[in-house]
Parts: sequence; C-alpha cells; structure tokens
Amino acid sequence: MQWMVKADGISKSYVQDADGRAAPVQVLLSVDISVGTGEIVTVFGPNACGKSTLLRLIAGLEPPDEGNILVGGKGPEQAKVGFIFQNFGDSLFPWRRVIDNIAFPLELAGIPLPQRRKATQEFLDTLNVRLPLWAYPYQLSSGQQQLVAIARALVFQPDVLLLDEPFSSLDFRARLEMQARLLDIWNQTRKTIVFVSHDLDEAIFLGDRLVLLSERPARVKEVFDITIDRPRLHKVRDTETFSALRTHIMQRFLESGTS
Amino acid sequence: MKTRVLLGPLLLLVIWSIVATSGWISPLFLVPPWDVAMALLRLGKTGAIFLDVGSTLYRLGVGLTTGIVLGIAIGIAVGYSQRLYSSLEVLIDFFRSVPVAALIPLFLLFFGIGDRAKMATAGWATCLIVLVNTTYGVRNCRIARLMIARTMKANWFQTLLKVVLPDSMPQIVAGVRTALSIALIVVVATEMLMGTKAGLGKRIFDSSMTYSIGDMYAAILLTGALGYCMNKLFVMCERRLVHWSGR
Repeated sequence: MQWMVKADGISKSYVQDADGRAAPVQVLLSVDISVGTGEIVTVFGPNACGKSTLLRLIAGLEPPDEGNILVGGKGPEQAKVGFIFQNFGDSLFPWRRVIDNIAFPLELAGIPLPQRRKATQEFLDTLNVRLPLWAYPYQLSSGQQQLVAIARALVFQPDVLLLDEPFSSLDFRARLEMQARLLDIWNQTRKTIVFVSHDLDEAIFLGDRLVLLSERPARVKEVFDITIDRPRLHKVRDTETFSALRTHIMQRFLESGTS
Repeated sequence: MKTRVLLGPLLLLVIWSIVATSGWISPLFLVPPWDVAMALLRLGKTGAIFLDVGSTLYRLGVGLTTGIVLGIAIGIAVGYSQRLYSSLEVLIDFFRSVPVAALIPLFLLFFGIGDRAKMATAGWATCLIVLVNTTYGVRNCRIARLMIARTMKANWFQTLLKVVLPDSMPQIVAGVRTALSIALIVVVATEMLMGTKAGLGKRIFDSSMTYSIGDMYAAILLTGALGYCMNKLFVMCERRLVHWSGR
C-alpha cells in the first residue's frame, strides 16, 4: 500500500508548569501510525490519552520530541492538511457568510471574489452538499456548521483530512447523519482521512482500520482491520461482524497495560 | 410601551417646573424649563449654539478618529507580541490609571491653548481605552481559528487581516463605544479649562460665570442630548458591524 501518512516512533511530552519546574508529562510514547492513500483510519482510546496531540503533530502544528512524520512524502509543515476541530463554533468565522467561510482557502490563494464563490458552489455540487450559503454560521444547525468546516477543509485540496472528535458535541441523530455524510463525501473524494473518536461504534463504522491507543502515555495497543463492505449504512451496526469486532476491541481496550 | 419611555422625562419636567416656580430655589440656580427653551431658541436664532455644537463635534471627531486609529494599531502590536506586551504592560496600566484631567496642564504645555491641545487630550483618552480593548481582543483570538489559518498556509499578514482583526472586532467596537462617552467628557472639560472661542463646554462655563442660567441649562441639555444620540447611533451601527457578537 502507498502511505499518505507515515509516523514512526513519535513521542511528545508537555511541561505543565509555566516555570518548567514540574516534571514534564509524557503524552505520546513511541507511536507508529501509517495511513494509506485514500484510507480512513480511526484512532480510538481513553479520554485525554493524547489522541488530539497525535493529530496536531501530524498537522505540523507542533513538532514531536522524537520520531519522524511524513505526510504525502513531505514534512507535515510543508504538507497540505485539512483540520476539523471538535468545536466548530470556535473554528468557523462567524463574520463571514457560509460561502465565504468555505472559500477561505481560495481567498488565501488570491482568487478573486466572484471566481472563488463560483468555484465553491461548483465544488459543493460535486460533493452533493446543500447548505444555506448566504447565511452566517451561527444561523445553522450544529451538524450543518460542522459540514461547513469539512467543506472548507476540502476546498483546500488537502493531502489528508484530520478530524478531531468532530461529531462528539452533536446530538445523537445529527451525529448519525454526519457520519453518513462523511462517508458519502469520502466516497466522492477518496480523501485520506484520520478520524479521532472516543465513540467505539463510530470508530468502527467509519474506519478501514482502527488504531487503539493505551492510557497516557499513549502507545499503539493494537491496530484492527475493519473488513466491513462499503458503502456502509447504519444498519451494519446490527451485523454479526460488527458486534464481534466491537466485543473484541472492547476487550483489548479494557485490558490494562500494552501488548 | 413607547409612551412609558416618555414617562420618566415627563416626570422630571413636571418636578422641575414645580420646584423652579415654587420659590424654594433661587432663580440664580434654577430656572423653569420654559426659560431654558427660550434661551435655546434665542441661541439658535443667532446661530451661536450651532457654532458651539459644531466646534465641540469637530474636536471630538478629530480626537476620536486619531485615538481610535492609534489605539487599534498599537493594540494589535501589543496584543500580537508577547515581548512587547510584557514590556509595556506596566506603562499602559499606569497611564490608564492617571485621570486625563490631571494631564491637561501637560497637554497645554505641549500643544498650546488651541484646538490641537483639546483634540490631543481627547485622542489620548480614546487611544488608551481602544488600545487596551484591542490588545485584549487580539490576545483572546480563538486558537482554533488561528490554527485553521496556519494549516491553510496563511501568511502573518493574511492571518492578521482575515482572522485576528475580525475576531477582535467585537472587543474593539466595545472599546470605541466606551471611548465615545469618555471623549465627550474630555472635550467639554478641556473647553471649560483651556478656554476657547466656541464650544459647548465654553458656553456652559461662561454662562455660569455670568449667571445666564437659562443659557447654561440649555447648553447642558444639548450636551446630554448629543452624548445620548451618539451612543444610540453607535449601538445601532454596532449591531450591524459585529452582528456575530455574543452568538
């Protein structure tokens, strides 16, 4: 398989005390993770184990203490990364209309207003995404707002899409809808996706592979292949394969220590 | 609903009329409302009051504009650079604590007794308020938005213009709203203390000195109305300008 994201032996620790006197907290310990081109890898682990840190390192927002990360053969700083935060309210631009939020990367690239609005509309058509383009983000439902954030990241034509628990603040129905929408979008674009989740069902439903992280300091406990046919609908959650996989991963999740 | 809004002012007028005509208070201190209205009409007929309002507005406008521009510019720089912030924090807090009135002699010294001194004083007061608010706004820019700009390879100028500045806008605008009333206070006070040919402060001061009490109340009322309208107008603009604020 051709790797889009390749991280080898990455470690990261943080100094919690501003004066640097307290001992640094080890967040990631020698984590290996590889994501094939066009693959969806979900990262699942205990709360606050370092899942978000892992994403930030892959995005090049922070450097790792040790180890090496390549995104599309480049260093993460050079690579094009689309990042989706859990809190869409903080990551969207409320002073811009929806269409101008999505067109933001095109604006940075210097494309004039009429062209970039047209390009954005055409792009959304190819994704089959309908949004109230002339509204402001705060006028949209939570699910729609997150969809705006995803569309904005995709317009950027990123090498990889990184999603940090993007649906965890949505209500149950909206979460199911958005999971299906994401798979639709993936089906159209075949983007490489790294999806961090603290919801095991979600991680199984979306992923081609699932990376199970341990308690902090996070190591890779195990990587599971999810061999459920695509396109997936929510009813695959009721199948024997799905529940067997869930039981198996749950057992490994509850075991203490690493392999 | 609408009529109830008028109840308070109406009540004040009634009490004022009763007190002023009862003989409890000497007409040297308080005249009835209709005398004030007459004074206002007379001042309007000669055009003197328009010159006063115009002069005050002119000083206010120039002082405010200069103060806002400087305040935003310095505020961005201080908010952006941690180093600049740590080195200027004490200084800014100090000057913010010095009452502007205490600096009037200083401004007289530097700018003379003309309009420039009055504008500079108002500008100073405005600048400090806007500066502090801008700094606060810039420093509290949502980290997620900054990170989005960074992952999308925005350069620092694009980040400033398209993310940091609009993100701090509600804070900056709130600062300007506060500065508006403070600057009016400052301009009127300097007109009283520094002396000038025309201006609402000058009118209030002179008429009180010469016991033209009707004129004095007319000018005070007008100054109040000016401040009230400015604030109302600004709040209306604010709602459109930073429509996302608080959502």
